[in-house]
Amino acid sequence: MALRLLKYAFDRDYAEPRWFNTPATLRDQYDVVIIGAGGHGLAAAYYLARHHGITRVAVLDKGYLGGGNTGRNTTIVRSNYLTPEGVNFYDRSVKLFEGLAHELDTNLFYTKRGHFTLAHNESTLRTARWRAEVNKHYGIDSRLVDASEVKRACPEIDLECGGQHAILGALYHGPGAIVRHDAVAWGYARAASRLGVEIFQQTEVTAVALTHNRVCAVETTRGRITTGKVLSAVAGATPTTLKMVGLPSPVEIVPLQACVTEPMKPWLNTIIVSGSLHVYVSQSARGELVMGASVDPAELHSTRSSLEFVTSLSDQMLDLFPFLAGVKINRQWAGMADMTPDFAPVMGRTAVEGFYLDAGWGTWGFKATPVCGETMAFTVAHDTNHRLLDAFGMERFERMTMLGEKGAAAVGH
Amino acid sequence: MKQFNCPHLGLRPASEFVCAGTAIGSLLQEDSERVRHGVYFGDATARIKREWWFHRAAHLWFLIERDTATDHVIEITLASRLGDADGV
Repeated sequence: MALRLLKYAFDRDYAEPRWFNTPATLRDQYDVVIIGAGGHGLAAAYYLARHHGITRVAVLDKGYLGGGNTGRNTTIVRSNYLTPEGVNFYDRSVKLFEGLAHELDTNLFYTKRGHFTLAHNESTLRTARWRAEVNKHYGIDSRLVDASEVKRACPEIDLECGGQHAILGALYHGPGAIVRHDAVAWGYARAASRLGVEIFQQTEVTAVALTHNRVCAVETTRGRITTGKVLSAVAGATPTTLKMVGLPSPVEIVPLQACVTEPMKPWLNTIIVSGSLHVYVSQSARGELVMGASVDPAELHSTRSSLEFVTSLSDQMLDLFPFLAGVKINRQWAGMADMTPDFAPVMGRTAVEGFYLDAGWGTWGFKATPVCGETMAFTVAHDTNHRLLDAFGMERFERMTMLGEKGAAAVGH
Repeated sequence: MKQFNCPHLGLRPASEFVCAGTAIGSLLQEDSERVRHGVYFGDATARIKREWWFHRAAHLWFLIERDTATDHVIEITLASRLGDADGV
């Protein structure tokens, strides 16, 4: 590292190679157009090229790479869900994440921390036990632990929570990890780019053209592209792309906010989540506490963060960790989350031929980045839903076969 | 702090209210397809919409018209009857 830096300092001609190249102009035709250069879109592009040999792929983004919810989440990866469909899906994602730094040749700072979902009352404890049993059944390391084990893993925690919400126990999930979210997007971008995928930032899709209920082209702010396949991977803007192809939206947009403290020496080794207190927290490699809460109370298409959020979150954090009273909040922000009625995603083929959806990622999307890329690439390449997506189709709202993932997806990220 | 300027309760913090979702009209009839579409599908782009909001302390229901792009509240009306949201 030091040598590399010295070389960079003394060599006038030396330049760090760009992570991905953007051609000057869009081609007239691509086999697949992916809307959204976030983790999901870029991962899909990478797996399309890597697994299916489809390299005439354009990834378009109206903003910058990873500037949406990929760069706004709290970077937690876990698979301790409640429904079998959810557990299998997220478990595949965790497994892909574990080998991803090697595969993408990018340091993702993937660190397995262990993940505690605290129970402050009997009913949360019951759900925790239920989740632990479902997880164990599918071979995932989750178990119910008592308060003393929480204290051993995190001695700084106040088990009484200020006397208001004493911690009774927790759902412990061994594979719970954190990973640098920007690096995931950039790693996929570089790997996809090396295989021939073209990435265009500041290129907004304004319309999707259909003939006989089939995708034939997309209109962008930089011209028209002929294509037979479009993948929408635009968390926070899904209703807009659905409207372009005339489909109604099962997704509503609700802001989700997060913040970080000033950096501290490492003290928090685990990931702590409390559904009752509406907080989740981990400590990043930089030493900042990365904290988030539940979604805002109503639909809103805005990424403005609020004082109410940061004051109420700090209040709850101080119940868990009173010694943080003097620590300052450094940054706060918001992302627009695609909320579905059952807290599960909406994925796969749609009623429009050639229009594929990777949406409904609410507050649980980042951890699914690799598996979404893998399964959506399969779905787009074969025009058949990947088997892991069977339960996630939009038609479940027609058939009333919802998934009921709220107990595991809400707050606990 | 976000506040609602309510014609009945005055200027109140928004946190005193609970949003109960989009006002989609009465769905008491037995047309299950309309119920499904009304409840689960719709135009969810940034727009002006009507929502049900409940004020916990006053125990009153309101219909609030709001711009979901700017969060600007256009109109707050007291919902005195269950059928008030018909036809929206």
